[in-house]
Amino acid sequence: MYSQAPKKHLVFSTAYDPSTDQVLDWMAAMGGQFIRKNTNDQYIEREDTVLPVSAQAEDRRYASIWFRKISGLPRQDWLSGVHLSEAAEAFQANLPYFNQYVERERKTFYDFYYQSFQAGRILSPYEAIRLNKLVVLNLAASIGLDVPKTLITKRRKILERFRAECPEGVINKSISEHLFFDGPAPDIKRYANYTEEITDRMIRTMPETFDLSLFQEKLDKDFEIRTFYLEGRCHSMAIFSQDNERTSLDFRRYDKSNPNRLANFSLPGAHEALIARLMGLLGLNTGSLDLIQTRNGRMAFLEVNPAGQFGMVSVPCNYGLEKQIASYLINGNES
Amino acid sequence: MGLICDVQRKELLHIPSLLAEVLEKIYQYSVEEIKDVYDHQYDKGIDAYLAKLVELGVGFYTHNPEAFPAVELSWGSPLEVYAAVIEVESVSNYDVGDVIRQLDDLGCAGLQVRFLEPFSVEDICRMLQPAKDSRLKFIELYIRENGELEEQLFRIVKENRRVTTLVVHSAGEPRIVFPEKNAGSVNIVYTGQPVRRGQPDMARLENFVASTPILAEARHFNIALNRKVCIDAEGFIRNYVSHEAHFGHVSQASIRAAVESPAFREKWRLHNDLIEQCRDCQYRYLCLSNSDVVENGGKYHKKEICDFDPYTNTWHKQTLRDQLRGDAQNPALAGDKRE
Repeated sequence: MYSQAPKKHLVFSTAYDPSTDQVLDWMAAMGGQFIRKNTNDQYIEREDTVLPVSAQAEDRRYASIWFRKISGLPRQDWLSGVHLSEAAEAFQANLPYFNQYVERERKTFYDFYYQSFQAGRILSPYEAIRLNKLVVLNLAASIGLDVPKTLITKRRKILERFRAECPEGVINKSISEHLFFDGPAPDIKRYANYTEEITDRMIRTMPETFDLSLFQEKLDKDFEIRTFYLEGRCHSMAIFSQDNERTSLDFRRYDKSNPNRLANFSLPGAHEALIARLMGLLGLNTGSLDLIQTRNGRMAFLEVNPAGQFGMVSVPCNYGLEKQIASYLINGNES
Repeated sequence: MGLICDVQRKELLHIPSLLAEVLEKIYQYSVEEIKDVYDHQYDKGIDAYLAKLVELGVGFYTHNPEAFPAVELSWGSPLEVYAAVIEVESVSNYDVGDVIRQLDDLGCAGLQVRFLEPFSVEDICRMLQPAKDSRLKFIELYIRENGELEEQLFRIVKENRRVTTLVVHSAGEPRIVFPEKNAGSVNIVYTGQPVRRGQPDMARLENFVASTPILAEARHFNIALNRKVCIDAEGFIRNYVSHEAHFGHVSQASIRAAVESPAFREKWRLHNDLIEQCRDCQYRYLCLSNSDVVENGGKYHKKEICDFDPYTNTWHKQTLRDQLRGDAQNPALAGDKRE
C-alpha cells in the first residue's frame, strides 16, 4: 500500500535568522504546514538514527525541503577536561588530529542525515550545495562566462610572472571557504581572512615557496553585482563600493557611516542565460552569485554561494523574494 | 518642497519642488531631453543640482540607464496583524494573556504594552507568560515607575527574550541603565514623561525613518494604522487607542473578527495620498501620525491637527531640538542628519 503524498514542508536553517522567519510567515499565510530544524541546535543528534532508513519513512518524506542554512556545531576540543590514562600523552600530542577525526565522524553522519530526506522540490539538493570553488570557476569559464585570470601556486617566481600579466594588480583569496574565528575574551574580536590585494612590495618579501595559494587578477571595478538566482530567474542588485577605500576589495567589510550605494540592477539577457546554464550544470536551483562590472566593460563572474543571503538583495530592491521562495516551496512556482 | 529619502543613510534631503519634478522624469528621459522639456530655461540649474546629488552620493551618471530599473513599490505582508498596542491599568477588566494568544494566532510580530499604573515585575512576567512560545518577534514595554530595583526589571528581559525595549515612565530624572555583561542588549530607559491613556504618536520629523519597505507600504496603506490593532485600558478593541470607534470588548468580541471587519480595515487603506492636506505634504510616505481619518463630503481628513503645514513648510510647535537644527527650514540640499 502506498502512503499518501506528504503535505508538510521541511526547512533547515539556524536560530535567529530573520530571512527564514519571513519565508515561514509567508508559508503559513499560504496555508503551508512546515517543520523548521535549526542546524546550530544539537537536537538533530538526539534524533537517533537506525539503519536502514527508508526513503518511504513518514518522517523522511516531505512536500518540499529548503536547505536555507546548514551550520556547523560549535568547535570543541573533544579531549579537554577528559581524564586520560596511559595513552594520554599520545592523545595530547595529537589533539588537533584527534579533533579532525571527530569532525570527520560527525560530517559523515550529517552528510547522510541531510541526504536521507526526500521531497518533490528541494532548494537546492544537499549534494549540490557542497561546491568546489575551482570546479565552479572552471565550469563558468568553459561555458563562456568571463572569469578573472586565476593562478594556484606555491612558488613566488610563478606569482611574479602572473603579476606581470595583470595590469591592475593581484589579489589573494581562499581556495575553499573563508576562515572565521574569535579572539580571546573579554574583547572577543572576530578574525577572518578577507580578500586582500597582494602588492608588489609583498611579493618581493615573500619566501621563494609558500603553501598552496590562490591568486587572481585584480579588476578595475566599476561596481559589484549580487544576483539572487531562483528557479531560472535572476534578481540582481548593483553595489557601488569603489569610492570607499575600506570596502573596495571586499564588500563584506561593510562601512555603516558611509554605506555602499545599492541600486536595482538588470543583467543583460545573455548573462542571465549563462547564469541559468551554470546553475543547471551545478545542479542548483537557487543561490547567490557575485559578479563585477569593470570600468572597461567586462562583466566578470566571481563565485556562487549556494546558501546566499537574499534579504540583503530583497529588502533594498523590494523584490519580495521571501514570498517567491515560500510560493515555490508550497506550490512549485514563483508567485 | 520635495524630499529625497536616502534609505541607506536614513537621511532626508529637502529639495525644491522643481527639482523633484525633474527627478521624476529621470527614468524616462536623458539629461539633455529633460533640458529640452523645460525649453533650456533651467540648463544651468539642472546641471548644478545633478552634480550636487552625485557629490552627495545619491545619484550617478550612466550611459546604460536600462540596467538600473526603478524600485517597484509594490507591498504585501503575510501577517494579518503586524503590530498591537495594549494599555493595562489596574481596572482593566480583560485578560492580557488571552489577548497575546489571540495576537499570536494572527501572526502578530510586534507588541507594545503600556502599563499606565504601577505593576510589580512579578505581575508583568505573569501577564507576558503566553508570549514565550508565540510568533511575536519583538515586545516593547512601557512600565510605570514602581520603585523596583533595576535588577528586578532586568528579570523581565531575562525571562522574555522577545522583549526588545524597556521604558520606565513617570520616573523623574531621565537616565539609561545598561545591562551587565552577558545579560543581553536591552537597556532600561527611564523617562520623566508619563504615558497616558490614548497617548498619540506625534508626527515629528525625528520620528520619520526612510526605508524601502515603508515607502512601498505608504503608497498603498496608512503606515501608522495598517495591520495594527489596539486594546485600550478599558478593554475595547480599536484601530488605535485614541480613536473614537471601537469594535467590541475583547472579553466578548474576538480580535480576529474585529480586524476582519470592513470598517476596521478601511482605516488601513486610507493612506496619505487620499487625505486632504497630507496628499500635498513632502512627508506623506513617512508620516507615522496615527490620527483617525474622517470623511466629510467625499473628502478625507485627519482628525488630529498636524504640527506641520506643507503649504508654508513650517512646523507650528517646534521643539527646541528641531529649532536648533532648523530641520525643515534648511535650504535645499542641506540635508538633515539624524542618527
